[in-house]
Amino acid sequence: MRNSGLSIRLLAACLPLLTTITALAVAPPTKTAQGPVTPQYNRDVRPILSDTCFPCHGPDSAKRKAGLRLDIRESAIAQKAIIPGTLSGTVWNRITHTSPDLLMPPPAAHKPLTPAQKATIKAWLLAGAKYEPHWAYTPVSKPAVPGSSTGLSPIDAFLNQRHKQLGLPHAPEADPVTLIRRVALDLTGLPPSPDDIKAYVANPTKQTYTAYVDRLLASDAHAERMSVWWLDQVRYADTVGFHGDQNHNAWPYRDWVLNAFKSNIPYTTFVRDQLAGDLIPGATDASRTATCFNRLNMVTREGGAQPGEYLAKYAADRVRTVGSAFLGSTIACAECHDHKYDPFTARDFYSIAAYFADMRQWGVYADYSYTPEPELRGINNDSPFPPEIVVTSKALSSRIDEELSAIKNIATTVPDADTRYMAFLAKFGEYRDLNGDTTQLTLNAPDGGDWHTPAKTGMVVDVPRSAVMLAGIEVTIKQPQTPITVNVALKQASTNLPFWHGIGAPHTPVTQNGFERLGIQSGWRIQSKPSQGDAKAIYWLPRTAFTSAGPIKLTLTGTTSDVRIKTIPLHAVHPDTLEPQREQNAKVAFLLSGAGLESITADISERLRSIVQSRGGRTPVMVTEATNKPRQARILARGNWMDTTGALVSPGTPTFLTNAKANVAQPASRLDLANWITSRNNPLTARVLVNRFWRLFFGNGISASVEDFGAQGEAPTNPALLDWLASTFMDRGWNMRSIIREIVTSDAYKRSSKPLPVHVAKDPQNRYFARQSPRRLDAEFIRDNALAIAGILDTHVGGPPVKPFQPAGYYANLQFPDRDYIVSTRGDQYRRGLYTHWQRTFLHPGLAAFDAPSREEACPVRTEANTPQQALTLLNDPVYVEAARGLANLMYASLKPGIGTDDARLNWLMQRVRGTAASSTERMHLKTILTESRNAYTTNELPGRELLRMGSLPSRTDVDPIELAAYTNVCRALLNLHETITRY
Amino acid sequence: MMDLNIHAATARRAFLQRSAFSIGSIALGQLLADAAPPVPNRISIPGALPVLHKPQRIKRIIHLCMAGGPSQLETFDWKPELKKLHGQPFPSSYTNGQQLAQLQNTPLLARGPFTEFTRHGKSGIEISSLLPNIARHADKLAVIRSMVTEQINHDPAHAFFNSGSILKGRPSMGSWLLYGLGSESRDLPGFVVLASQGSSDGVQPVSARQWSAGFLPSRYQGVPFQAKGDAVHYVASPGGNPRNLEEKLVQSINAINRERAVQTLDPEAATRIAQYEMAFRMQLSVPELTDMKDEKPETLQRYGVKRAGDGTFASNCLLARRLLERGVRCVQVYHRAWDHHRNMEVAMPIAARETDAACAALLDDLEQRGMLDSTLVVWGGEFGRTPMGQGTGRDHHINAFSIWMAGGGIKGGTVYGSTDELGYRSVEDVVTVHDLHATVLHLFGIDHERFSVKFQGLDARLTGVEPAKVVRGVLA
Repeated sequence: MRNSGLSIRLLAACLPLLTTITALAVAPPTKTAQGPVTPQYNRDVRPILSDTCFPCHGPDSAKRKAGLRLDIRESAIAQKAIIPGTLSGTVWNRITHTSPDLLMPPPAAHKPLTPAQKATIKAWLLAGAKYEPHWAYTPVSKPAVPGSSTGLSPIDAFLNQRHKQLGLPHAPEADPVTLIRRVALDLTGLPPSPDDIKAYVANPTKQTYTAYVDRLLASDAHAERMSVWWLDQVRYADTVGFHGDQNHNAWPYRDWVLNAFKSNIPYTTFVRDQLAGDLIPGATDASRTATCFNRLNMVTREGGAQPGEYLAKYAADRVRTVGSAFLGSTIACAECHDHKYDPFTARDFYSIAAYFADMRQWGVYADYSYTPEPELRGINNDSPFPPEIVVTSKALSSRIDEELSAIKNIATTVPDADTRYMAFLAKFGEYRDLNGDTTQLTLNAPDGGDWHTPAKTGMVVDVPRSAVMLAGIEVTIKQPQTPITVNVALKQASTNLPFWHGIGAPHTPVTQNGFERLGIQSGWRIQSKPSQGDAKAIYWLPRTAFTSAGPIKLTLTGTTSDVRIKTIPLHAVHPDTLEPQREQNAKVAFLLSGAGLESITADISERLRSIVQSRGGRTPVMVTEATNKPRQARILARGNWMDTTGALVSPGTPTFLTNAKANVAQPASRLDLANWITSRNNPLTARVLVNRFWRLFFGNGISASVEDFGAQGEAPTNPALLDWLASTFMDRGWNMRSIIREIVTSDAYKRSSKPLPVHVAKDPQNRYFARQSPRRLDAEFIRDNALAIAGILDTHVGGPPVKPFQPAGYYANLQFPDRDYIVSTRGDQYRRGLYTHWQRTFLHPGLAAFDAPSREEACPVRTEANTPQQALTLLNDPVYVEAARGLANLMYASLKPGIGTDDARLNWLMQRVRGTAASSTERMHLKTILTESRNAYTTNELPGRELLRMGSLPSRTDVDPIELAAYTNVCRALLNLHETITRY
Repeated sequence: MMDLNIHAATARRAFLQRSAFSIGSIALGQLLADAAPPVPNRISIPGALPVLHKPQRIKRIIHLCMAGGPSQLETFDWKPELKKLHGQPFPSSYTNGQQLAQLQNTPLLARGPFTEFTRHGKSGIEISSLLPNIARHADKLAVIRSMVTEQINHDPAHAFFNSGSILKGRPSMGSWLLYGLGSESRDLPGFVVLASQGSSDGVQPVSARQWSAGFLPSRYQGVPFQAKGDAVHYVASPGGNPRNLEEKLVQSINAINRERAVQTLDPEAATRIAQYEMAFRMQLSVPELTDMKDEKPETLQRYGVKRAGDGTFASNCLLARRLLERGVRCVQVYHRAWDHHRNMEVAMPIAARETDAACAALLDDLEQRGMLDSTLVVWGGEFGRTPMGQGTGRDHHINAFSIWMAGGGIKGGTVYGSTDELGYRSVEDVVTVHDLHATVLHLFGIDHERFSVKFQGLDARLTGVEPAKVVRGVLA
């Protein structure tokens, strides 16, 4: 929805505008170039009847008045409401009645018919009152492409035919820069690179364009862009949404979606795996991960919640999501009663719900005394939401590899590495191996050998002195009596030596807001007997410690079994396994330990921590697990979960969609539901999807109501085109990328978005696509675009959600558990918006400001607002200030400091931001900022310096800070431009 | 340029068509009036309702939300019979087949109120000793003792109380009001939310969805003011850039946007310019608003404010008054400390102390400024509490709870509706949440049945699909 409620007044405020309003849109059927036309039922008549008559004379049997049904022609005729070809039926009599008591719709309904609507009905009655089956429920046809051999793409052929009928001329093709920026932003959510722009402008041919499209379609960025859209459809979030809004482990599902788009799996598989990936033959971890889809509904852990009530809520949510995401239907309306406008019955609603009755789930995800759930015993507000499985994550394992190689690189490229190593050898020569080979040392831990028996109060022992250089402590407990929680601490003289990580085996994990708390520093819990007999833990020190500074005392409490302490010297870089991986090359081992390299140990530590957090490349994910005892599913009268009098229902698809029967005798499982949805005979699925794709690339659907293909939705303005796209999509094996390619390579897609006067007069809403429409970027892409322009976007794909800066105290109203917002570090600050931690009850304010949905409910269409909060966000959110500084840095990297004029710099910047140089008036306005900034910072340097210190992005040190700050302000302005956040 | 104008007009029309008012009902003159240059100073940003359905009694509303569900039995619904039954089994004739929250599967015992009740004012309304300051205003209050709701857990109950629906994506009442009536402030958001956490037991979370605009454009959503850092997210200029520099920056942005708007004929570009102007005004007005130095120490004391701007309920009430004075349409003030499952005899007096004086001072100030006649004050929680005890507290209860209203159009000194002798069920003049919404809209001059927006094929209303009634008994 583009809403410009304020535009007129605002335009008057900013532009010297005329105030005469002439003709508004001329829409069929009133007149076309060919003169008056007979109203068509679907296009012209049904919308009127549906909105004004069907609520009382339509599908809902409970609310039907006077037994009269007008949505079925035979009934209407049988009851003399309609006498085709005449105005003698009661419908015409009543809608034109002069008595308010008899007038229809009744005045109390506040739905008076306009004269134009009455005229349409009159013309339709006189022409024979022909009904048409609802367009979206009829089988998808394969219309012939009009005017073959014109060389046009089918899309253009269908559109042009309609444009000719309507007398709508085409807007010219957009200029090359606009077009290349448009297609890059549409397909990837990122701007084209300067080189891409240069290449296309130099050679703006169809071939160059298509090759560029293909490159974009194959990119990770395209998969990310499509995922943003899909995650709205399925209400993906990182938290549960109700009450305490705790974290749940869903992000591997998000990565599954990314991968599905990247590898362009058929839509049939895409749908099937999400609904029933656990039920398919040969189910894999990946297909099970996809079933997290069924777990994305909001759930609760609130004490006092009634399990029955919440199970009913979850069931209804799933039906709504299936209806919305796959079928473009508002089945939600049938929860309490038969649908008022569409032939969905309440039985249909609960029959779809019954497909999910096999899921292992709980109404309340905790075991309270008043609502016991014995299976969930021990679960608290920090626990995850079962059932989960553990899967491997490509994002995590590649992160480990990347950190490892970075560490190695850092360590071995330290300038004075050799000197330091030689000093080490001189000091700790005893580590040389027997062969005297100084590069192949065997770094065996000196054996601490002795067993100690702790007292009940614990024990204090000296760490064996023979270890001269200490990386970690190994603690072995002989056959511990469980359950125990062991605590270990080190002290050197009076100084504590904190561990930075510990690993225990066996270890009973502790969770914190849905995630396993890493390490065992704050308590090594052993609840069950170790199968091998002994339990073993390794505690790593933050930096290699030198025992030469004095003896180290170790305190251990929590067990009375015998304990042995060993020391571990220089460690290699994989601290998340119990047996340290020894680096064979002594010099490398030395460097990797960070020993003595104060300047780089922080970086190495950070990376080691990142490796630990990558959990060996494995992660839990919520999945669907079927039980063999499905819950009873019944119709809930008026949606009331306490009413147990409704009829029992079995899984089943809506009865009126008879054409859509899948090849199964007895639909019974989620897999059958998936097969029914993606059956070639289902009239909705393909139409809904291609219409949504169309909206992504034109700003509006062929039917504008992408969320509702029912009677209250808008009929497609080009039904043949919609059906051609839908049937072609299915013919091509439900290949999503192929349809997207078809759309973005059409002539129609490439047209200018600037309306011609005739467009404004005849088709102001651009419902016929004789031109393109400008569109503001989605919330995530506004951020991504700014970071990419600034050259600071971190392009890592997938992985756990990240936490960019957000205002302090934003989660203050969240409890159970209370939580802090720990801002992500390093590159994770600058990841794409898609990866932002999605807290349903308090969505990141930068995303929320630009209409990103909270995803509490499936969201087929985002609202598009234009608010002061958006201005404040772009002006002042630190990420945009950092992006502005990044852009200024980049400019200085390209145009060296002290060389070149302000004009050249401003042109460079504008070129970078939108692909074309600044106009002279634009430069004038930007120079005002430069001058004012220079003046302000010359008077008082402080604000400029503070501006350059915001966030964590470094500022160039070879530039006068006043200049850098002044240009940062210019860049802020550029990133705030309407044009920057809009694709034309 | 004329093209652009029409383009914008039709875009506006597109949204209005989704609402209950077709273009036909908006006179061309109205559109032209919108196009007139803005009047300096305070002009209202028009809403979607071109004409009101009935006389408007109030211009603004403040909702004092005692989040967690305060016990009606210790505040406004005096039940001597319940006190007599204290500790005895609660008659099962009341409770059979009824919903319970944390009392599921436990024996039910009556719990008598622990507070004293006395009659106040000429009207003689019985109010408990916990709320002595609110009691001073007894003759201004219309107490409804017969409220019911449909949701027994906090989160959905708040959603129901705010939006009339438990479906996500439904607009809150404040958003509906802002959408329909527009804003009277050019410099501040029209719907502001202030949340504080009480210091006693009984704290429950409150979600941002409670002030969501749902399917309405997001500029109608409630804007939460923060106690820490910037009152409004991102309202402060980065690095302490001086005001005039930021002004030049915004002017330059707008100048370039203006130039490009003419070239692209994109109506959103024009809207954007206005939003930057509004944003800049907010940057000036929010610090002026939240800097409460000009409030007298005596005033702070009346509200019970220890340190102005400390984010307590008392401070937020004072801030709320300043917001209302500046033309804000709807203010919600949450106090999150009323979920007294246990320890209520200790916790509830604390929660009452933290709120009572501030609520009363707010009524005083509104009256003293001549604003009470045009302001509606609503006090209450998302549900009530059981007459059955839950150890040292009470469980959630949806069959009966009390709220009060005061201000414009309200008949002061009224008690409306009643519960049975044990306070279990509302029996007389039962008021639903939808009835309450219908009443609020009525006071704003809106017929709730005619105030709808087309959403997913339905005419969505704040008051839902089932009949709702204006509670005439509380109206003056």
